[in-house]
Amino acid sequence: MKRIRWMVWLFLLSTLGCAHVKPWQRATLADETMRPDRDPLGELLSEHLWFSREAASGGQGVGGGGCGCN
Amino acid sequence: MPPDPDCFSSDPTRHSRWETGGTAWAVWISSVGCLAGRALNLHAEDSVGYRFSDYQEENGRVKVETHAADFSVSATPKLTLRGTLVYDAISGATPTGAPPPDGSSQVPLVEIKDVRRAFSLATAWQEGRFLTTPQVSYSKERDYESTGLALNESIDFNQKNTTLNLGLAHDFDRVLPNRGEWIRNAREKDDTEGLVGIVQLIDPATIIRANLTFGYGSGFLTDAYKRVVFPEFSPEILLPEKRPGYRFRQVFYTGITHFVTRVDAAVELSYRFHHDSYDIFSHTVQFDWRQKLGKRVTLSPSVRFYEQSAASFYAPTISGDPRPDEGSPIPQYYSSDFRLSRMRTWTFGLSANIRLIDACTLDLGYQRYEMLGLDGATAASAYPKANVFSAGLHLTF
Repeated sequence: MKRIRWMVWLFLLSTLGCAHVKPWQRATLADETMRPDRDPLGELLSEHLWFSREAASGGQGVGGGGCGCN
Repeated sequence: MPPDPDCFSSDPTRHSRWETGGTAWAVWISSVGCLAGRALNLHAEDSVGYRFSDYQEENGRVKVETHAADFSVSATPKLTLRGTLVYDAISGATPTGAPPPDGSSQVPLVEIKDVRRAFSLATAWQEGRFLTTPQVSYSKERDYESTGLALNESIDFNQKNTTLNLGLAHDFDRVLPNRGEWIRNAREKDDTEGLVGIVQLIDPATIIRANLTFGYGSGFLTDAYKRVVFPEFSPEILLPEKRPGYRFRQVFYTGITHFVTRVDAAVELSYRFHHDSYDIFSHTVQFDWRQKLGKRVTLSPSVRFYEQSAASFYAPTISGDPRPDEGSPIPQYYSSDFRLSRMRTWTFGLSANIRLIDACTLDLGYQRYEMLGLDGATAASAYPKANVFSAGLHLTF
């Protein structure tokens, strides 16, 4: 329980953003290299590798189904 | 640009193997794909992609050849369909869990051969500042079947400077009997995950992300290929491993992406903390550099560090004698699966993203994956080292 509380606090702390980026200031943020969805297939394959070889997994999203992965 | 709320995605590591046949094939696919993309009457932002990947562990261990494809199509201004198809051809050998026999440093292996077919389909519905994305997924292997449902909701706040992500997913899985396994009947397994996350714009060149995920797996969580040795009973006889019937996971993830205008590159640093009821703690740090070289090429080196502690019931050999009434007490749960041991992995990657023409991008990648045991007891030969090569094509319209 202590660990979960610690993670919740860390999560809340890391989301304390108060800056305002105006719509016309977002050209750089829209660059291909900044997009989290720029390479969904590459991401899918890498996550599958790590998921099948390591005890920890996930953290960046939910869904996608399971696998035997021996 | 508003923070992207899509929960499918994240970092950019990829891999590939340029074998002679694969090279010719990928070039052919590139040419045909580019022409086909022009012929199709798709909307702006629509895309299709294909990727071939070859994962090969050293010393005759596991080899996986993957063909993967995805698409994203705007059916209406508010509705986008997204799908993924994956075909894995799996072969090679994996450790049984037994230690090396006397006089050898090589852990015993069991041959595996399987084919995995998987698909997922999601519909993203944008209604004002709400993006709702239900998803179904299914995968089938000779020894495993999985059916998954997920629902992700993204809500923009603060003039799209902040996005709240909420996600819920459930997998209905079945472990199926196969050669090399010790089970005789299908066994059920369920997994539920919940996520709450934030994407925050910090300045015109910086985004941070943070997610908290809770997962609960229950049912048959044991690996039916893995076995253990009780030296007090018999150093030769292998018995099935036994894991707890549930696993509760807590994961914290955070990442920052910043564009360095001076050198025309994006840099991403992320950290993940994981803990579960197996008493495994893990830390993952990943660093990506995405360097633009002119208008057509992006070169992306990456490095990922991962370290975990051992599961509370992991041991290379198990103490006690399992014979009822005769032996000494044995632990309630036990496993010698090296993936539950104390270990560290490194992943080094280099990928190139080459824009052939405006709508067509060629992706090439290589990854080196190395796993190292840290407990000083598990045989070094249990831990794999692998090369991963990939090549693919992405078309946008």
